[in-house]
Amino acid sequence: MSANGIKRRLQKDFSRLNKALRAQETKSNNRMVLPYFEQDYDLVPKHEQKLDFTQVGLAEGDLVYITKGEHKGKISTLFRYTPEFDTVYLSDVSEKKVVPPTQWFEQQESHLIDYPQQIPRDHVRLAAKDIDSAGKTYYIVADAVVYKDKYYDDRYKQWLPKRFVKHHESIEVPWPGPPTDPKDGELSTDEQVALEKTYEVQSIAIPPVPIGALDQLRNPHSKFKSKILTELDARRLTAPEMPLSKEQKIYLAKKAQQPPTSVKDLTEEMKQLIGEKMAQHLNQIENPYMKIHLDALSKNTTPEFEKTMKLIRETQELNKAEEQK
Amino acid sequence: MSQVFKRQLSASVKSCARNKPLKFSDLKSIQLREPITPTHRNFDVSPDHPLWAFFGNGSNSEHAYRTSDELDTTSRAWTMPELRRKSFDDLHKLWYIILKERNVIATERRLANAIDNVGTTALSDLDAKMGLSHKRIKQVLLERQTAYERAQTLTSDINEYLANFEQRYINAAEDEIASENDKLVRLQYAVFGIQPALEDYNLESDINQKFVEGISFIAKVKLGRHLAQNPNSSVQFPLNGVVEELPFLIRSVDQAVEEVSALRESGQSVLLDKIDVFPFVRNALGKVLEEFNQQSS
Amino acid sequence: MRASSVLNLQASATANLRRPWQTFRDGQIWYGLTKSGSKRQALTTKQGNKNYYKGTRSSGIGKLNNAGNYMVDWTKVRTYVVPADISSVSFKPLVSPNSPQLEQRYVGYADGPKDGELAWKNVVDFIEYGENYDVQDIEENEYKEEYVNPKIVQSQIELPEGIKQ
Repeated sequence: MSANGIKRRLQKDFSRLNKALRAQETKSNNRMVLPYFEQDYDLVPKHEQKLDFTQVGLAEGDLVYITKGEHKGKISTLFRYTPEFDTVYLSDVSEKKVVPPTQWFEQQESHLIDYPQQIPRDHVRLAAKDIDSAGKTYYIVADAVVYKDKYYDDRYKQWLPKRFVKHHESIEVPWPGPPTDPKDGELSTDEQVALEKTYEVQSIAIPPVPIGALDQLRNPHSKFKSKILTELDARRLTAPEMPLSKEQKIYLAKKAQQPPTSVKDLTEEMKQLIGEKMAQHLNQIENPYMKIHLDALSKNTTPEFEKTMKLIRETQELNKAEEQK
Repeated sequence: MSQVFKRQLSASVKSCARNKPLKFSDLKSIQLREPITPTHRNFDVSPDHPLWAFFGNGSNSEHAYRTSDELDTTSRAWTMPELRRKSFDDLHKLWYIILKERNVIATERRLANAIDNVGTTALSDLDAKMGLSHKRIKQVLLERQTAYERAQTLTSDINEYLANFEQRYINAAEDEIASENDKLVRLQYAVFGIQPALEDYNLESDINQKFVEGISFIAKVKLGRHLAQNPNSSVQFPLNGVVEELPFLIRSVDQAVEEVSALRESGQSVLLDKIDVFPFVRNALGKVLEEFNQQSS
Repeated sequence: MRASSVLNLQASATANLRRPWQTFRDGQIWYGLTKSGSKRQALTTKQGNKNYYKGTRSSGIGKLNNAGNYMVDWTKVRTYVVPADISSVSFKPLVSPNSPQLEQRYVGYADGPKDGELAWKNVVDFIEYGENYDVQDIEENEYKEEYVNPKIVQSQIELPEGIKQ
């Protein structure tokens, strides 16, 4: 059955459920499961999984402090993060589990085995070990971390952000380094081949992708990306102009005959009159808060005011030009 | 009693009927051999058989699918910066190399499920990495296409550069002109899509509006320099369309000037209609290519 | 513990085959988890009436002509353009974990590699300096490639001292 086939479509898709239904689903799954094998943590849907350790904030080999649960207060080393459940496995935190005989591994003699305990990511915090001036070791626990500038880490072979304790940003907690040196597999391309440069932009006239291949990259029939409107489309999309009534035409013709409105500059007398009126009114106000408010208002310029001033300036210039003639 | 009603044509009965009696050879002389058990172990398959390509270990495969410890779990997917440095041909090859491996894994995953009902997470993880590489290849190609399309719209920058270049070319000293000519060859490829070598032209697909614009730019630049040095030359601006501009692309400036003046004298220099421009350029270049091929052979 | 959970401890191939048809004491059915479920799904090829033909999106690549022969329209046929020399390439499907991951930075180009301005700048560089106009020694720069807009560099130089951008 193909990956996108009918079977896939009819199956229950966990990632399509909302959070409440996910909890319900987990509950109903656990109905048929032995208590020891109950799934304690909700599955994280694939698109929400954190696959990169910089997203998680913890890498394999980091010290962590447990903040909740039975092992609260313990400091331990992280040895695995599971993106499917958003949980961590710690090196010395384990629990007893019962295993049915069908799932026993070789040389197992008891139903009970020690199994690393899954702890939610929210229940652990990053910790770090340091030695003070007296030579005594102490631990730092970071409630949250922040990332600042990047550096090239030769152990991980990639650029990583530096990790600091939030609100104490002088304290850097370096990444621990990968636990093992990875070896090349049979599908590994060599470094030289992988980094070889065989392309540079040389022309803006010859397309970088053959025209025949472009349809495989973009949906040629996409309704969201049609850039060229046909004449028919344009006619459909533009509303017709409303015909004018007789009265409107008469009104517009009359208006066209009237000279354009011009604003005259205020004369000194007018300014005096307006100023006096305003002063008279303002002097009646005694409330200090109102005065402050009016003072602040007077500094604001509204767009209307700007418009009027602009009109005044224009008419002034026009008048000047006429005078010169 | 019932009669069986057969639906068939009487002609077929005749043609199918046996007209000679059955004959058997001497049954005693027939030698019987041991029966061959029908298992795949009893058949030798050539290691060159192309269907081996569907198995993880090729012709050395012992099983239908690989287990997780036989798989390569350490390698990582191709990253965007790595793919951005690769040419289209490289990306095309890489796409098919990945596709081939994904096909193998899809087969193995199906068989592992069907035959032994074993877990296939390791196979799925490997497939996810390759699926990611596939997506990134597409993404890189789209990025290039987008940049290319956006660069087309920077007309003011392009025209400004072309005007600057024209001035530089016309005013270049004698010792600079060689390098300026190299630049012009690169410019005609970079801005107008005109290939530097004549034999690389694809007359069917390359001749377009840009190509014609390129021809007129080259003619303008070259004749401009010619006129700056010989103000009393027999050919002056303006050039009469693509008929007079094309010689400047194919020949050296002196030859082109001669050709154009000859065209003008004989009255063959005509301004072509829009619809005739492409066919004219195509035919003229085709002729030049033919001559070129004859000379080289 | 649920009544049905016991089976997990004694599950074997034969026990599995011998399981009864009635439900468990806790109401759980033997086959599957529920009897009802989502039913509003697309029809399969086996559903629908006699007129329902679902197809596999692989037919309809041509037409019957008057003589009754099927003429294939090759523009409708799926084609795969496979590169010729695929076996001689040194690429592998994945990359070695020991290969450094390159970091690319685009300063002053809003859309990074998709920026038209960058493409035009590269083309101008190609015209002026020829092929391999922008070769950065990535090993020297700790596997980092940088593309800086010259306009930004200029505006930084023009600023008076002591003022940061």
